[in-house]
Amino acid sequence: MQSYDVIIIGAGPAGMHAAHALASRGQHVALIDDNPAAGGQIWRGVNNKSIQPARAALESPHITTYYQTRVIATLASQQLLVENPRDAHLLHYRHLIIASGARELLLPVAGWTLPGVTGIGGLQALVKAGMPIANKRVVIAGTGPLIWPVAVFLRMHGAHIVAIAEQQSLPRLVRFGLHLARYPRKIWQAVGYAAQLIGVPFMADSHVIAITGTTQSTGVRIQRGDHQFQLTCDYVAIGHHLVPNLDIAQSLGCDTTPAAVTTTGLLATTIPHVYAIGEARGIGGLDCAIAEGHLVAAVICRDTSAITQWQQRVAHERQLATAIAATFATPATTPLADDTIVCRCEDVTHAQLQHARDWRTAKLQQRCGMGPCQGRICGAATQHLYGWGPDAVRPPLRPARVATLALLQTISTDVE
Amino acid sequence: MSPSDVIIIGGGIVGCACAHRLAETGWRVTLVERDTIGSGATAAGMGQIVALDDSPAELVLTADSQRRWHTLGQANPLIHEYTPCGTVWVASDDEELTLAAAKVSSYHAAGLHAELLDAAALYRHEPNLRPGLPGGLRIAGDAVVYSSRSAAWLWEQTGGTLIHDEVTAIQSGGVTLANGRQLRADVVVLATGSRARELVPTLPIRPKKGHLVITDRYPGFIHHQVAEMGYAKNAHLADVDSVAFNIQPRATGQILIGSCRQYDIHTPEVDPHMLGRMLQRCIDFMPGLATLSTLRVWTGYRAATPDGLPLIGPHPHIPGLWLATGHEGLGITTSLGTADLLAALLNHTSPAINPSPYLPERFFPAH
Repeated sequence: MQSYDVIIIGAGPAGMHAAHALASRGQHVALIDDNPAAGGQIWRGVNNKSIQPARAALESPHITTYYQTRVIATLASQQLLVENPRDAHLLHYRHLIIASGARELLLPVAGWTLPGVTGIGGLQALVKAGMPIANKRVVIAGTGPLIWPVAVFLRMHGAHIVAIAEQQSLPRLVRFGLHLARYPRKIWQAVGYAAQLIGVPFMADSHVIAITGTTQSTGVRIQRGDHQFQLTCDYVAIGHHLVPNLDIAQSLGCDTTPAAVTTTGLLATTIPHVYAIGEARGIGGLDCAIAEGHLVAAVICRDTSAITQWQQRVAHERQLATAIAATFATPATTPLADDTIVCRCEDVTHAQLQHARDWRTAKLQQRCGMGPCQGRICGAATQHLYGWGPDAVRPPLRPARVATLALLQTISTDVE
Repeated sequence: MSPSDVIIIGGGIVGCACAHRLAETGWRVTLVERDTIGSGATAAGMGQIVALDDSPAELVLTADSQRRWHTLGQANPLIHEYTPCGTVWVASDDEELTLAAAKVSSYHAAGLHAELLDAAALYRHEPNLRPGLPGGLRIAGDAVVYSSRSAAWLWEQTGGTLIHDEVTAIQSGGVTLANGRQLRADVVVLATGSRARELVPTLPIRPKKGHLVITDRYPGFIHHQVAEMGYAKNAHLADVDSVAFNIQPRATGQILIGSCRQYDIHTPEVDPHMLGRMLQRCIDFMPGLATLSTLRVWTGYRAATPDGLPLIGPHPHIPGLWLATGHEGLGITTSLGTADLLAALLNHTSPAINPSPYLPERFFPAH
């Protein structure tokens, strides 16, 4: 079994900076990520001079990278079972850092299963992967700060942004804008976005009530106050802000809230030797993630002067996280049609679910959440729509080969 | 006794089948379920309809139940996801193949179809088995159902009253609920599986924990339920933790992988070591399983009795209390036979099979 001083789960900005900061202090680090390269969601497919130093810093003899690798199970005695497309490993750690990032909250709306409808980050990822978007008409809808950089990105790639429809009210968005005043980099970013989106209609307080089309999305129906109107488009990018990926922390037994892993100011979770940084502590964005990457390395290496320095920086960045949560964390849901599919893996409709007693009944009687995504999409949606609680987290945390789980027979039964 | 009010505790497949049969014969049924209909071991189990011959009484009850499921399943195949796929029991060596030959005659004597398979026939039925196996036994009448939905369907037919609560005590002529309310009835049926001792601590029931794994969809990978013949030996007799190769094709094309047994463990968490042992056992029999993608692992508890037979009938010392529990790993199969037996005893009509091997009194010394 491979053994490391520190294993970091997630090679986004938080995990990358933690890895480098730990390695430069002599720690042997394993950096695990599901993707083929470091960068996380935000730096996926990006290769410019702002990122190259962070990537280059991973080229250290003290860092072992495990890309295309998923954590399948967390085990007693500080071990992880991980799987890549070829094989599986048991890895041992002294310290574990959860830098598992976030994913978009996708909520059902009539027509959301039509081809042409994606998440906001989802459409960006598709375009980065080569999907042509030039001259396509796109409506960006939902809520969250992700809307702005993606709108700019799509416009730069030639998309025609028909409109941005944000659920939140204008006063609420203005209040959020005022918070940004304390973050000069963010202000310049915002000014830059605004400049690049001149001419794009922006609608606050606007809710998508249906996506129209028969074999492909051809438009969206939007409610704004008391009136409804139709927009014509080719693609609909709709998302409802971000939710942190908590399942690894929950599998380890760490306390969590729906919005974050519970941590101390020094990033310790409620389980010894386990830390959480970045979006896992609550959606805080890039600068916050980087600062927490530095701080966790200082904490693990007991570098007191660095701890003081980075703790102040983290506290500053976390104030913005609080403002983000206050502005975007409670997306509204629109009433669904009976035939709107809620569980996409098993084709379970709103009509089949709305009278179910609870999540367990929906799973047992309708098979809701029992497909390949294992409720990762519809679990959040049903929590939102019907108030159903989440499940206990069990291995496998992601679909895994039978042979990978069979490897667990080799763990000793008396290790505790 | 003329039919009147009955309270059934436990809305698993056994409780729901009893409710269904009693309602058909005129009883007014109240069902108390702490979770949701068809949860507990009903949801955790494989949904297998199998005729097993570890003992003559087991074969009689499972054969009777297998026929009842066939009738029910054929009438409503979509509701129950009734899939009459049959079972192939795999012999690991010549000794087990000899045993298989003996089993053919006992199944035939019970009026069931059974076919001895030589190696060529075995691989014709299940080509993904590892090479070098001598043969096996095929029981064509066995089937697979989606038991949680069957339980809900059986309950919906009754028109009875469903109470979502926990029973905290059974007393003469009724039960007390967790909310303090008392329910009255002439007859109380206890059908809470491995939890039966929470209400009647003297019952000879121990929980046997199991793990199951379900894969993504691989239609055609197997055609029958496929199990090692050692399964019965490992599963029902040994008093130690055991694993056995036992896999099943679901109507969705998914494959359900089992099985393992651990005594007296009360924590529902996945035991990684047992899970690994169980899956390695299955890969040993069917190497192609190794690369299939698993979606989910869960655990559950079977209600095991010392002789491997259920408790069906009146409690000998508690008037008005009837038992329908202790079905171990065969509760889905034997639920229908159990319900018919229990109803016949309560209605004083003649049961389809001899009730004496299953009567609870066998474990209680006479006063």
